[in-house]
Amino acid sequence: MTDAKQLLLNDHGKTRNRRPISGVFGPIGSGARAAIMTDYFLCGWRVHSELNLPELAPWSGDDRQPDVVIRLGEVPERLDDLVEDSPFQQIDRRGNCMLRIEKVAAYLVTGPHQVIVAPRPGVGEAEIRVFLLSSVFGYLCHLRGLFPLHGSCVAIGGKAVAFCGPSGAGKSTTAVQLALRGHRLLADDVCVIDAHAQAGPQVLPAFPRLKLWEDTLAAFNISREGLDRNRFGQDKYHYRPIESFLAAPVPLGGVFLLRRAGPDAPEESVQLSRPAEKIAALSEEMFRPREGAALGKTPSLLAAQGLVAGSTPIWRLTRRFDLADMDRWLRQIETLIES
Amino acid sequence: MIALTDNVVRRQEALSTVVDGCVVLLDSAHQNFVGFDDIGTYIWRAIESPISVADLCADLSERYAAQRSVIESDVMQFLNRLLQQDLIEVTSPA
Repeated sequence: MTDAKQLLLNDHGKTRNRRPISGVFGPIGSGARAAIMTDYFLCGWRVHSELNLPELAPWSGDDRQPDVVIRLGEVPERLDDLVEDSPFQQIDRRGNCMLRIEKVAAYLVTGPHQVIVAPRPGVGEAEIRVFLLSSVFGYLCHLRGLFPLHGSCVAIGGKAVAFCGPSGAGKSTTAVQLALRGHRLLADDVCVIDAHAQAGPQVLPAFPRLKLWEDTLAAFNISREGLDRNRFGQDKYHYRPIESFLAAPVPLGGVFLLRRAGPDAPEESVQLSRPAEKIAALSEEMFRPREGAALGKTPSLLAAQGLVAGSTPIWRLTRRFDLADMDRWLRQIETLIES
Repeated sequence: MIALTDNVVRRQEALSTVVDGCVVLLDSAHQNFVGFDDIGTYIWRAIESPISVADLCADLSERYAAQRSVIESDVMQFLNRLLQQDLIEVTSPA
């Protein structure tokens, strides 16, 4: 096993040195804007951002134009011609997506290339990023014709393996455990799949951050000192094993549907075989399906599910979620993937 | 009920995908997926444009070694299920 402490302690320095943003609490001029722009890596896209995004790996690719630009600016109260309208979200027929989070920010995605963020007065940057890296990221995936799964992802022996399941099933814990065993982290929370890639479905690595509960950190002897809380008052922390992150696309080699064993759910590992069952499972684990449908992506998402289901084994893995017993089923996962 | 003389055609808006050679349909009204076997997949492809049930059964009896009466009964059952799920359109000849 990789030395836990070593892996766990080298995560911060790199991301912390970025200049703090000056524009969140007031208007910023174009000069200031140019000075604070930093480019990042996200799913192979070059992201140009006026907001600090320490969760993302720095861009180290070619000198292409940015694929996505994140700006601070004004966001309207209402969009027109809506296909989706709720107190926190509006999506219009042309594919503009707006998210409004009280006391945090309003976000407007004007297509696959631009995000405008209007922070509320007094909000912290970390809070702004929570929604940028979840809901807004989901809009971008759907707008770009990708298939996002709600789950974590690591590379095992050159194959990307996704871990899905209900909240508390151990998606992030499994990923951190596999990272500690020397496998590269590809994503936490949102596993982005390019199902139409020539070489078969590929996972596009997102960013090297895991959201871990305090008890999980404690179990792995990770100090929470210096880690950001996921949300104010929440005992869930952001842990960034940047050294363990892999940036190149990786062919999808398996999907695990994680479940906790209990009185009504015996331990088992079952590979799904019926096509409709595989499609239904992938559909259920899709990230932000409602938004994908509102953006008119249902046909291409179904095609993506067909490509994934046709090329990728899907297992339902029900196991006792006992940290002491973890080695056993982690080895089971490695064996299934490497065989 | 569908008659042998009726024409059937799949709904153009019905969404489907193919996994391991078999069609899986999205039954969007019920947020459900319907998987077909080889024969169901063959029929789904055959009804992409309108065809009479009798012609469809004749075609199938050439492909599969089964009694015509068995094929007709199975096809009727299959098509009636698709009709219930609003995945096909049926028109009777004038």
